[in-house]
Amino acid sequence: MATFPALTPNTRSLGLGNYPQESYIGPSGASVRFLQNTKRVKQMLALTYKSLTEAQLVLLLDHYETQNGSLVPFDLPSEVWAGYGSVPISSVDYEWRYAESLSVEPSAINRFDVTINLESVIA
Amino acid sequence: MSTFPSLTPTTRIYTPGGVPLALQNTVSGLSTGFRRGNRRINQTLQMTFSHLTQSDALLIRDHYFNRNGSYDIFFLSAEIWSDFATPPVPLLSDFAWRYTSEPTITDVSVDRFNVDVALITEPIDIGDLVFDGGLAASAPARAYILDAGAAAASPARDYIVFASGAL
Repeated sequence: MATFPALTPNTRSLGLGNYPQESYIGPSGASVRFLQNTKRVKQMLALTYKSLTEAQLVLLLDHYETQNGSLVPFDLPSEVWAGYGSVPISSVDYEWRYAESLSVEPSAINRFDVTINLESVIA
Repeated sequence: MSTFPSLTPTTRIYTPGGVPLALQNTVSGLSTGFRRGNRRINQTLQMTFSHLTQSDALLIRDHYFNRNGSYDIFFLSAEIWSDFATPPVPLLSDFAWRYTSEPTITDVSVDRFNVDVALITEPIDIGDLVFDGGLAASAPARAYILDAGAAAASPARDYIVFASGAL
């Protein structure tokens, strides 16, 4: 399991997912719900990197390749959570995998913008 | 943790929902409505909290985790309805709230975060709600207890919102 490259993102958006549950709603609107696990699923982390050098871009592309795209989960380094006093999503309970392919756009000469969407996996 | 964190939202959108009903339309265009319940459903509240400190953003995160995501119900604090002389949905009433979707935390500046929250009401029976279980009599049995305090273990409750020291 290769840890994600130690690069601090320029923007970051964290969706907290939900606990797996079944919900049944009656005609009156009354509902019953059944909790099926105490670990969350579908936590989403969107990262944007601006004006990366080609070397930094290659780090991200190589990691994506190493993880076989969205197949193999991995840990995030503290640099990804820079700005937080404590990491908001426990690395003990959750790993991450790519939710979709990376998006790379050239932003200037030899500079690249990269958008990455990650999804949590129960460790 | 029975009550949403005492934070005043930056934006707030409340929709009053409606009554549960079924409409039957005929080929001539006439329609008949059948009411299926006497409680409003689908009251929703969308809120945005802008430029929260990390500790305030984590208050919402921790509350979401504590409520098991969209599974458990809770009540709102008065700060949520600030500017309302009378909240459109009373703070402690026969409507509780639960999350409809995951809160989203977005970095906006150094140690500042925007948090988006979406809630929906969950009708509960007011007769089944005890606001302070510690002082409640053991009969009649109540299904919901807010702040159970030192409430006795019997009769068994179906739903304790804030167990506190309850057995």
